Amino acid sequence: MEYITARDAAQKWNISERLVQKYCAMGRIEGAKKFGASWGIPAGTVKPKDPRKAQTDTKIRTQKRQSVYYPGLMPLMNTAFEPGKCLEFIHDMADGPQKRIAMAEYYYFSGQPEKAVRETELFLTGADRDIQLSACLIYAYANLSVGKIQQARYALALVSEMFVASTKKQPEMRAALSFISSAAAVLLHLPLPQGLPPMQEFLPMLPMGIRMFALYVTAHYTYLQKDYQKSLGIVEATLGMQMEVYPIPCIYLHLVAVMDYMSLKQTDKAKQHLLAAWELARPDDLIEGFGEHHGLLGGMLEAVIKPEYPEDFKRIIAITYRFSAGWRKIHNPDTGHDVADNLTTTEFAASMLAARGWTNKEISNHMNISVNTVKWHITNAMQKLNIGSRQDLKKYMLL
Amino acid sequence: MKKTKKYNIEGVMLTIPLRYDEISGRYMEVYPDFIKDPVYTPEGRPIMLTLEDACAFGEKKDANEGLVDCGSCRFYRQVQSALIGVCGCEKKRKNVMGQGGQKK
Repeated sequence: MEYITARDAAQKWNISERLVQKYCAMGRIEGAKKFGASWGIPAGTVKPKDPRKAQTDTKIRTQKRQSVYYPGLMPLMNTAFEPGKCLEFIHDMADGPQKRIAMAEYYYFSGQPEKAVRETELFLTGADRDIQLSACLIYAYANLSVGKIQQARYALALVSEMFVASTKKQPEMRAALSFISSAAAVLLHLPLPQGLPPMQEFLPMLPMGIRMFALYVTAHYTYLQKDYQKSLGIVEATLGMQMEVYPIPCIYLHLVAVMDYMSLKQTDKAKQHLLAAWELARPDDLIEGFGEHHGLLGGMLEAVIKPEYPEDFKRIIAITYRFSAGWRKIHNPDTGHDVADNLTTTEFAASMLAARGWTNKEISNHMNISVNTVKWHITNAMQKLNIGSRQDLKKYMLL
Repeated sequence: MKKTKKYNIEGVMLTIPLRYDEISGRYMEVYPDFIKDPVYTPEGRPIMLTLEDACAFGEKKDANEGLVDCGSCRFYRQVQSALIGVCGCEKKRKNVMGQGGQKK
């Protein structure tokens, strides 16, 4: 048999001579033979696999999972319907709980929370897992919007109970529960539930529309961590990878991009995303997300939507007041936020930008109002908050 | 009769009107436009709104914070419990003998 030295093998395999010797000593090279102090390796031997890399390969392989069919999990969110044909799509669905949940989603996302509550309450304790989870999420948010906090807490508690009761042997169930739990927590700025698995574990199992919304939740969470570039990366990648347009997740993804770009003071890009969200939302009147995110959109609604669509703007602001009042009631003081709750939406928007270091002139240009009007709103905000400096605004804003 | 609040700011008497705010249920001070209608102390120093945009002569009060408005300028002396104060910058001072100070 022909042998090569450890040095030759090291050069051939592009690893260190020491590692070759180690493999020989461990018996990992078949036919390796010791000649005095040196190892002889049979010529033509294939480089042994690095055990560390082999382990990683296995790990990656085991994480590949097929997405699971969740027929009742937020069916409207999970549908790539053509903008303007949302109601048509729902009407064409077969009668049953799935259709009722889709209708409840429509009610919620179009700013009709009372109807969403009525539509979902029957399904809170049903036997169908997907229907029940969807009902809980819609019911919780819709009740926040109508100021019924106890009912909202009840629905969120049901989800928590289901999550605790679920076992690792039910990966589909845990994936759906993880999605609903993280969506509920992040969007209300509450701490993430304990024991929530890392997103990469459950994301691949979710169907496309739900997966996109889960990525919106992640982008929102990343925004709250002030990592705006990373958050934008999540949004852009998610939007870029979609094969079809899923209006509901797309609206929310665009809104996070607006928040990120406003934080980075790139108003033109923020405006592009706001208009993209608006184009998807307006044909079906899916305006709820705009109202929910108003405080974080940095005056963009005042700058873009108000002049062109004054009536829609009024409705969005009504949603903002309604939703934020409920949200502040359920908000957990342990998270350390202390959000201003007695400001008008314009005072809040102007103060958000002021707290981020924008000058009065910049705010005036952005919001299409005079510098004196900007000063009026910020002065009012500062007096209501009993603060004497612009820097102190930060304590009361969501930055 | 309209409610007002009086301030004596380094020798200048200011009467600030108050308005009732329905949302917060409290009276709010309505500050005049000191840029359009400047008010000076007897020493010729301008009264400013704390959140007025910083001017070209301003200098940071705190090294860790930016210079955004009068309130963040080291020359500015803010009145306690109000959003107004006096600009102590020499370049903004009005000549009390009749010569105007440099404009923003």
